Amino acid sequence: MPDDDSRNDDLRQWLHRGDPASGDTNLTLEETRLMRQRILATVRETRRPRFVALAALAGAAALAAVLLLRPAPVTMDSSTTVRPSVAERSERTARQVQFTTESGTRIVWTLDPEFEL
Amino acid sequence: MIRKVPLIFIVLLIASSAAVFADSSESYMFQTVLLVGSTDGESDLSGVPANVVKALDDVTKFLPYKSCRLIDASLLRSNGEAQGLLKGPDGKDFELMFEFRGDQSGTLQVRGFRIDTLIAQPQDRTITENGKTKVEHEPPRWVRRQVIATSFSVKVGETIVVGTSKLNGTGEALIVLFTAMR
Repeated sequence: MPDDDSRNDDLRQWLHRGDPASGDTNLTLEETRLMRQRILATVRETRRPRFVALAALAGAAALAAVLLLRPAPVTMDSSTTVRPSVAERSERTARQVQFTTESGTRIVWTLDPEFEL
Repeated sequence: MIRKVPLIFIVLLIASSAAVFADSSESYMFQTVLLVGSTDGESDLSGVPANVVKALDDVTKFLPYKSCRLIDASLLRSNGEAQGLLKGPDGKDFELMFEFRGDQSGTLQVRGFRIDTLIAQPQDRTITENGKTKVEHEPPRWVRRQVIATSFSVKVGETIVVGTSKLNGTGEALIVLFTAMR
């Protein structure tokens, strides 16, 4: 019965024998350097489009966020004025009419019983 | 080709966002001329622009007001909301405010067109102590009175007449000639 150590040694030998990179590559140092450069260049080229796509996606997301979260225009009521104010006149009493003169001038007229200059 | 796709996407993105912002930020000039119309007297229209004089001719033919006098005028440039001060009759402050939205045909939808007058109400108090009377001066209370409030559409280059008066058309009327320009 082989013990555990000898079984591990056998396994190591089989793995070394089956390793395609274990033998002599017959490459000079210069060839190895060139191969490494080519591999790195290829990696960089494959990464660039992904980076640009991610940047474009981030830009689109930021633009969408700006458009969606843009503050709504402030409605103009008495609270937006600088000076304190109180609305005095009731609008229910006023009546509005619109008409157009013969020459095409449009008139928007408010008839207000409480009007005073 | 695959490399160009993100570039095209970015160009389209920039173009579309530029179009969105350009549309929302287009500004217009607004001329507002404030007049008081009266059923009697003679018109004093010195200094009134020609486009306004033509519109006033139409108004005086149509309405019972036979004479007009210029009170104040203003030019405002805005891309959506505008607010300005006009000098009203008797030196009162008139606050003009409106917001608008333009469409492709050159028509502007003017909403919340308002003219309010701001009246200062004195808040001074008279106090009597030990037989002596003294006046305590307090800052005035500003009271806002709405003079005109309406909404309408106006084409670029058009002068629209906005006015208000009592029901029976007697006495005086406040007439605003509002012109939208590029």
